Amino acid sequence: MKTDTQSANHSFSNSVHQLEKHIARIAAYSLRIYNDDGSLNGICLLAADLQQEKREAIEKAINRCKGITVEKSGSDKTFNKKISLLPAKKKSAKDAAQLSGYEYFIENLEAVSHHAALTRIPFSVLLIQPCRAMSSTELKYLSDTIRDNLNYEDIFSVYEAAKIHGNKGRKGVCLAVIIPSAGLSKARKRAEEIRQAVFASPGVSKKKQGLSVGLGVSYAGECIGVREFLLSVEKHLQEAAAIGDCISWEKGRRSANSCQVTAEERAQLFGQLK
Amino acid sequence: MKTKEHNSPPPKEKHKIICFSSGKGGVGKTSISVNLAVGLAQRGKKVLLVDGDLGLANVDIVLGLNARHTMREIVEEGASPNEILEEIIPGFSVLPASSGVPEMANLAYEEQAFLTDAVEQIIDAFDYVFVDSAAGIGDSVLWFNNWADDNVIVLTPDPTSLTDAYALIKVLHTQYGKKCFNLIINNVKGQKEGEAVFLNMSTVLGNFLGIVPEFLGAIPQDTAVVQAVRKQRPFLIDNPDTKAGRAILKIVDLLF
Repeated sequence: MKTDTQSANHSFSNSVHQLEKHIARIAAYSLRIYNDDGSLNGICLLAADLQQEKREAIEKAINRCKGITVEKSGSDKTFNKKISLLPAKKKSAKDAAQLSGYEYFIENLEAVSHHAALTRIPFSVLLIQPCRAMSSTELKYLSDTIRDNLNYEDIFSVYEAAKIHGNKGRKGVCLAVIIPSAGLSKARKRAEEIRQAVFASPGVSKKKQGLSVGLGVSYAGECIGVREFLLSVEKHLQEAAAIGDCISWEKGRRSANSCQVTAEERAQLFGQLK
Repeated sequence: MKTKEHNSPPPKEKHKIICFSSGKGGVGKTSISVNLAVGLAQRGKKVLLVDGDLGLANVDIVLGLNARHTMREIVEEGASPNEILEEIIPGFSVLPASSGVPEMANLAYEEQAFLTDAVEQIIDAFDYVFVDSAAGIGDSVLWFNNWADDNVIVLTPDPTSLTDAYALIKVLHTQYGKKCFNLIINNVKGQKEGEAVFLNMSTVLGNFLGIVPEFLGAIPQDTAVVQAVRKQRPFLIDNPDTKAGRAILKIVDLLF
């Protein structure tokens, strides 16, 4: 049996969930605010077209409040990447801080996937790996370069691919970028922009540093699970790595899954008219 | 803490957002949606017609409207839809779109969401919201159809129109999970041809997609329609007692 407090909390969570569901079609982001004990304190809605400086001011204002905290982990530099798309992550701030790069990536991937299912807006994932082994300093430099070239809504994480359960085919560090609201053409463009930004960085030349990129697009209508989707993107990364220094994506998937009117359908459509 | 001191207001009736699409262009979507809006307004309903062909608008032309403000201002300048709204006759208002603006025809998902969200701010004032979508199966067509409560597909007996209408329904069903479609067969020689075309389409939809569409009606070929478009006046205002006018009024009865 629920106590009054439990009921109130439950009701509040439901209200927040309802709110998130109803504004899912609007170009807005939500920021869940938690108490130190991990209980949900409130929700802050930010218009997607809000100016960067205003948005940062709001984030700072919330962060200055004592006794409450927004979901975040890592350095302040990445703070603005931690605002999750609707619906926000369910983990408390403490839990979020303990998440590994991979867990953080999966949590955000699930949130964005849920958002895509609600809004029917596709999203894309880039899995990036350097073509040769890198030192930790080089890797940090690469990671920072990619991070600096992300859009506000992009979500970035770094994880050790070899440590993922069941992943036997690929090893090494993986840099993952979730690009919300991006179909294939937009994601390809963004992937190429990131590659060019890395190559254009001082100290990194294309000859020395190739990048393999696996690209996956999730269309809401396909109802594909997050893990299954991720496996398909990892497959593309493997293909890109085998070729070396390129972007790989599934070219035929959309057409194979398309709604093309078949010869049989046409025959029936016209048959009775004749 | 908030307490409930007042009785909750009665729940509002669900808005009737109806999207008119066709797949193929030139089958009479605009003419039909405009005249249905006129018919409902003449019966005391309040209708908002949104020109969903955002880059190549036609509603204003069919109505002889010289619109100074368009929905482009909502997207680009954040204007309120109320500033753009044009009243045609009492109870019938239009949100005009721009013509010859490629960027409006290719809005990003966020912009489309922003636009429909802006329109939602004013739909409280209307009994019906009609969207006259563009031809084809572009992003805006799919977005408006997904946004709408009801989907009306306009088609003619031409094989090209049949195929395109079927393709549109297939996309909306497969990718957006839409199951309920209402069909209007336009430009038929007579009621029998309209019913035959509907039956044929219904059979194919049932066989391949498991969809059972609704028949809203058939609109016969009528020179009054052609003349009305050239005069830029809805035929239901000037010539309601024509073959097409009577067919439109039958559909108005169904929607009313």
